[in-house]
Amino acid sequence: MTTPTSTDSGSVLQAREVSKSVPMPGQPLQILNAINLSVNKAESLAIVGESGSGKSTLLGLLAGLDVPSSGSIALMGNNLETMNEDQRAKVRAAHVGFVFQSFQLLANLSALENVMLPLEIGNVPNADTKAQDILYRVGLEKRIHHYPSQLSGGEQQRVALARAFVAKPEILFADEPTGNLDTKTGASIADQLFELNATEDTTLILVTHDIKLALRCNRTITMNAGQLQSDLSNS
Amino acid sequence: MNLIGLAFKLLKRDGHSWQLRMLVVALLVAVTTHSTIGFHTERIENAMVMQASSLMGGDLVVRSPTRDPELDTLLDRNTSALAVEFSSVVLAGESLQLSAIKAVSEHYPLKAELKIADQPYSNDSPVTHGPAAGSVWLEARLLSALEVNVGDTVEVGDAVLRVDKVLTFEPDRGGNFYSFVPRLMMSTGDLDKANLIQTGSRVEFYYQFLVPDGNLTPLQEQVEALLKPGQTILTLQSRQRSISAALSRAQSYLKLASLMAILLASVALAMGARFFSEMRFDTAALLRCFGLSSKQILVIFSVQLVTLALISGIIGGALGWSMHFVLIDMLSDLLPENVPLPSLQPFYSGCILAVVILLGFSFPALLQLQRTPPLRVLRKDLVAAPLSTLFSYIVVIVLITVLMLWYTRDTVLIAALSGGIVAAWFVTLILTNVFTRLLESVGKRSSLPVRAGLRNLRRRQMSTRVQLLGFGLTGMAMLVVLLVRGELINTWQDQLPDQAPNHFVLNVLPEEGAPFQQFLLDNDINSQPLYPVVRGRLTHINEVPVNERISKEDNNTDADGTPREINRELNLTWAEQLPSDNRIEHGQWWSDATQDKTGVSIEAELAEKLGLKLGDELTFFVANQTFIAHVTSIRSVKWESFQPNFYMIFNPGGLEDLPFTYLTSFYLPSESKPLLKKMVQRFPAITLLEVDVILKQIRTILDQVSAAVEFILLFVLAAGLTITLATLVTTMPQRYREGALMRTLGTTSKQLIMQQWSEFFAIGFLSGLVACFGAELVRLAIYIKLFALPYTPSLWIWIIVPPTLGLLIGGAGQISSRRILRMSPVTALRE
Repeated sequence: MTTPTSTDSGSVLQAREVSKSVPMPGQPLQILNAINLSVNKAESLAIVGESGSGKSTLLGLLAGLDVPSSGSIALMGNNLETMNEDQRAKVRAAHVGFVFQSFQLLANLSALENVMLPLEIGNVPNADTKAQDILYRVGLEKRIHHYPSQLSGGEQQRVALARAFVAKPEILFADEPTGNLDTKTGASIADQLFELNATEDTTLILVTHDIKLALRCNRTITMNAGQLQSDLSNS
Repeated sequence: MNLIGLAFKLLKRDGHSWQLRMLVVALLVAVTTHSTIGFHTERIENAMVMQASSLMGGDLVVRSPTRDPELDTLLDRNTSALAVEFSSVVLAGESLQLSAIKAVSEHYPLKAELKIADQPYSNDSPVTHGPAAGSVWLEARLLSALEVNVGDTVEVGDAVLRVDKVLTFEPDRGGNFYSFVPRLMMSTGDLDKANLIQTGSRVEFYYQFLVPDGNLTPLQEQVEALLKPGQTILTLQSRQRSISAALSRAQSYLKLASLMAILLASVALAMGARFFSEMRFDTAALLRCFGLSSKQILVIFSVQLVTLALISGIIGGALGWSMHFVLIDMLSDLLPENVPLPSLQPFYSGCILAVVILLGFSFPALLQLQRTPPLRVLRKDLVAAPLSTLFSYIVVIVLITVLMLWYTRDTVLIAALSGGIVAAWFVTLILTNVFTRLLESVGKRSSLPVRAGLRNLRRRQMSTRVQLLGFGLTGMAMLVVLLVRGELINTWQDQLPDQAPNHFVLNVLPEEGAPFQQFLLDNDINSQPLYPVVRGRLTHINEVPVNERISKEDNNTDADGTPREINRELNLTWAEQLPSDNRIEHGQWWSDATQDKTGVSIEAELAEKLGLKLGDELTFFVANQTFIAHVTSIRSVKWESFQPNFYMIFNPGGLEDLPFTYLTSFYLPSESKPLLKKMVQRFPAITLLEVDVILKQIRTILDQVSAAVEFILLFVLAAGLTITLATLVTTMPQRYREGALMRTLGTTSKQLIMQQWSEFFAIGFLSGLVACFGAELVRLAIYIKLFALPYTPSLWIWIIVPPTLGLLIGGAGQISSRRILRMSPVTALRE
């Protein structure tokens, strides 16, 4: 399968009338309702909203981790709703990176090994040198052989950032990247996230409760009860 | 993408994960146990076969009714010998005596040693050759019957031969110890001179072969190709009933112990693999996020499991190889020297076993891993729906069954074990559904920690069920091995008690019966009753000649097709009471009220061979007259006991008018041997047989077998305990988190200990019930079907095992969870 790098209009991600519901006893629970959205290359987009407003569900759908109940999502020109899980996996492997609130580092792998993992999956040569370089860039040169349980929360998230950027993804999805961190550490992680985003020319889509973090993005959309309440440019 | 390389890298990096280490330890213990037992069993079997083949005369023996030039060509080496057996009258002056002649060739005996003495009833010494040409060795009773001394001559056919020694022991004399006819041993070099073997003579040629490298198959194939009608390859089963029953039970036991090792391994791996997979849900979800397909995930984890299995298989096999030397060394006093090394088969089967069980038991979890939704990275609670519990259990039970069947090819054993496993499963379901509820309500009156501990059993019902089944099956395996071993060894001890009869006396004349018994009493000799014996031949069954009724295919027949047991004079006896070690299988033993005095009771195996059923009419030829009897019962007989036993027992009154003599057996300690001379002088007509040496030989084999069984038991118990601990440790992570949380909320260490203790004790206690139930069921089945032992329920296990297992698991669980108390709650929560 070929995966075009962008659409003609410059949009790398388009969601049309995306809805998501889950079956419940009685009647289905509507989590997202007719969301329309377009994200351009190298743009940074923040999704904000109260807990339970559907932010993370939307992120999962946009990243191809789940499929909508109705509507369509085109990620780098690939219609995700028509693909099976393995086809979506290929799209993710080719274009997508992730940063999670709970870091999602593998406990039995050192910082270096965690960062090397996506490179090794993609069979990229010199994975260890590249992983080391990016760990240096996020300031973890002295911690590269430490295991996640030996790192602080901020350090773990920096490893996760390094792992997300090392494979040079075109789109990075971040779910509450500073949600588990104190204000100071969170700010430092955010600095690194936006710096890497700028230098690597990556499209960034992040879910956050932190309004300051949201304001650093080009655009902020606000979710409320599964619907898109506003879509504002931060400039 | 190089998936295999990635799988290796991830596995290597996982090396310090304790779940992985626990899995490898369980696998290693399992494979090591399996291969140690495999190597050890094979080695012991080699030793037993060595001993047993010395009783048979060689590794392979062919019996032929005629001299066979083709088989003769195989005799052309020093690993073969010929023994020619026939009956003939031996003359010495005016005396003559029917004798069992055995002419032996240069290399006889191939195995073990003959024993000879310079004078009757004097000290004997071993020799590794037969008599030289021109000389003969006679049994003491033949010397007295012929009234000759060592140094005199006797006539065997046309040959005049010098009596050189007294023959006291012959390893391959066979099971018929109280053969009436005394032995004369001569050299095959004198056979032509004797001129006794003519066409039509009733002669048996025993072609005996040694196979020094232990690989019997090529020679057996070569011999089978040459085999003609009437020729038979002798097996231990056909030749030595006294020990073959013990040997086959021992082999079954060792097989049972190996199976239990497989079962232990299966339990450990079923539990270990599940935890191993559960710990990898995050990895699987992340790899899916990174773009790996579900198939690729499956390949990665499968490669990892196969690698783990092979590594454990190879290391476990090597450990098993080393361990078996330690065990063999401990048995060195019992074993003959130079027992051939075992084959590498247990090593290969260990590796295959490791791969099959690990992959098999991981299969449900692997499928779940493969289907892990990538969205789990955002929502931790998401896991793929597991396969249904019932399906998983069925997969596991079928897998264990197939594995065991592959390993033993013994359907009875497997059916018994599978039955035990299924029973254990049912009991587990009942216990988890009913007992845990009961325990919880009972616990309501106890302190908070005990209450919390017991409540956990129900709260974690799935985990409780898995643990009950796991520990229950482990306990079942250990109990079966323990109980069966105890009863087997008791049976062997009963079979040959310290004072088992070591002498048989035949030809006690009717009028000498009472004085002979008095003589025994006066000399404090403990004897069996006197059995009247009439010599007779079975000629017709329901008016059809015996040899026409029997299939020529039966390999235990003589050249004319008649079963060997029948084609010679039989010892017929009569008795009012059924002998104590006989059991009626069909029909009825007679009572005083029985009018028909022509009733006869037949030994079960012979009845089967002859196709006899109740009411059949048998014609016997005794003392130049024929008489008819009817089958009124069919009996099983313990041939392995050294008591006089009979194929045919008649209703008293049926034979009493015919000429008879008495037969009995007694025990005489070696220091009282001089009494024998006195006995023979006082009752010159009797025939005395000494069977001490054969008894000793059989005792050695039984001792060896018992020792092997003891060691295997210890090994299985040790493996079982190790696996129990390893399994327990795998359930710990969830407990660490909960413990940390409870401590954070203010629970004291003492309360936490009480809670853990009550939960683990209850798990152990309930597992003990599962174990007892499963073990009793397996035992019931294998005793009846496999070991032919009487089954009596072991009530004591129900009293002892559940609390013991409760204390054991309670204690082990307590030790494993000490970490909760030692580490700070923050650390535990962060992990």
